[in-house]
Amino acid sequence: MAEGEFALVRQHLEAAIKKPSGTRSLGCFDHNLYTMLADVAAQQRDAAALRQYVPLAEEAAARYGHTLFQAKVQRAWGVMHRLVGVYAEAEARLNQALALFRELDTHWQIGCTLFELGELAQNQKDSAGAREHFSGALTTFKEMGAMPDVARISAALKALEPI
Amino acid sequence: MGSIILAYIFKHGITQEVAYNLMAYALRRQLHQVVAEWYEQTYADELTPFYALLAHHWRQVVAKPHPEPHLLAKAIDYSRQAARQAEAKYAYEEVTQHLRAILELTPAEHAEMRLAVLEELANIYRLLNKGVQAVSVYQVALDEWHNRAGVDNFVAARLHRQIIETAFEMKFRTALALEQLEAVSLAREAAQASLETMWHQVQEEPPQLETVRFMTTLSCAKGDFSRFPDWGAAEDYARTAVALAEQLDAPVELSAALAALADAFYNQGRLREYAEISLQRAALSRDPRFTDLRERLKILRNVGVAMQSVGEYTQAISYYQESYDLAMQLQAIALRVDALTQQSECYLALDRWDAVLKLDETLQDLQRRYPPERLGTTCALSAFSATVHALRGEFDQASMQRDAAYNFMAGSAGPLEHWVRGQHY
Repeated sequence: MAEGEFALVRQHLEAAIKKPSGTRSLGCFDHNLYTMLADVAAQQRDAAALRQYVPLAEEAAARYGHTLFQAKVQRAWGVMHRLVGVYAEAEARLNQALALFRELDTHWQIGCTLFELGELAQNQKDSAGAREHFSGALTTFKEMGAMPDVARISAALKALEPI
Repeated sequence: MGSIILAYIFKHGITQEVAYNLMAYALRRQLHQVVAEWYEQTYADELTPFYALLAHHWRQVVAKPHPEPHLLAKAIDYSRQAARQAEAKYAYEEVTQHLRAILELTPAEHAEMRLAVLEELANIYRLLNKGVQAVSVYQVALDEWHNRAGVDNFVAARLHRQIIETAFEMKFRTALALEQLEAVSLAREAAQASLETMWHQVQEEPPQLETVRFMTTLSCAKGDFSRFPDWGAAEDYARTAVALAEQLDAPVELSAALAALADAFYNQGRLREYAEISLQRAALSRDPRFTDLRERLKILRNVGVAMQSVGEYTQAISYYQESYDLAMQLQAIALRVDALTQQSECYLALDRWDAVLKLDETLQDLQRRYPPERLGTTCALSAFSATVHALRGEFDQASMQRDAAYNFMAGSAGPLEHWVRGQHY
């Protein structure tokens, strides 16, 4: 998804959050929307939006004991900490997210989190670590047939310095 | 009927009508009686197919001042049988005709019978989505109730409760004149006040099923039914209804009371409690005394929504699957689509993309077999499927399904600014 499309998603979600929840049959709650907004902010690498939405998403996910959303929130925190250069905290958060996604067996989310760990390793000049995480993500995405992600990770791997 | 021999027949209906209208009233009544008695004697063993016909003839026989009581009884009895028969065939307009005829024939001193027929008539108007008429007939029934000394208070409670429920059903109909809406709203307020007073009067007495029912309705009146909900009060009433239903060991009423309590929790954002109550309802719906399969389906779906809302997707899927199977049994196509959609959302959350696409195939199969109006809302399933195609890089299919989903939504909900929160989602 191009960056402009993420912005469009965010625009829709922000419009939605201002509206009443509507009927129950539509099953759309605050924690859904805040988690999506936090997730979109992470994918946009938008630190300001992350600061705005991640705490709200975290509170709501914890309130309902929603494991999937808690995992996404941890990943979003991880991205935020990486963006501001707090790498140790970023790694801890991303590993927590990875553990939760593994518990849930949500493969695409696992692949996405491995990619974030790879980016973090790259920021820390740890090429071997980055390669390991990117390779893990690549295998996961290939198994799922997530071709845009396969292309993205392959490019990231290619860009890494040769061993 | 095949054995009936038609000796004479009018070539045109108008000829028959003219001939009939030329007859003196007394002669007409006499002929109606002859015909009715002929049917009664000829088909004495099996009168069932002739109830409507006999009701018509006997009603004509007694259409005079001071009819003989035994003939009047016949006209009323056949009309009741004909009404029941028509109701069993879902011919509700015909039922109203028979019930109205009974009311015209039933003398004022038979207030109990008039009351029962009025309530039946109002219930039928409700089924016909004629809420204004239903409320007005419930009010006439309440007048009959007031005119009778010693009639059970719970009869009045039931009528008040039904007025509130009917008013709520009408909330979603905009094609009503303002004065009609105001009249219904006033009736609803009066009914609510009466039920609240009644609760104070009966709370020390042993519980009755009707008490549970009206407490549940009062909970809804404070919550969902109200323009300015008081969810705390709704919760209190629902808790009382639950406690009473438990004392009475009444699974159907308990389920309805729990639904009201679940609603109060949901609307206060207490989703875990909402989920817990929904699970209790699902367990109750398996009680052999719980025979309403449509209600069971609704319950199973609600449990799915509740489980999904707290992230218990695997559990949600199994409840949605159960609701899908039940919808198949009931041949409820739109509810099947709904169950597929809900499952699809859960599978998407769990990254089970193959499962999402498989459900989409099932939807496409249904789309080939049924017209859109029978399928209900299909946009969400298309949108989930579009998401999976996009994630797999199948952009043409993704765009196609995304556009289908968007167009469906724009067609049903209008422009973006009219969409509610979940529709953006």
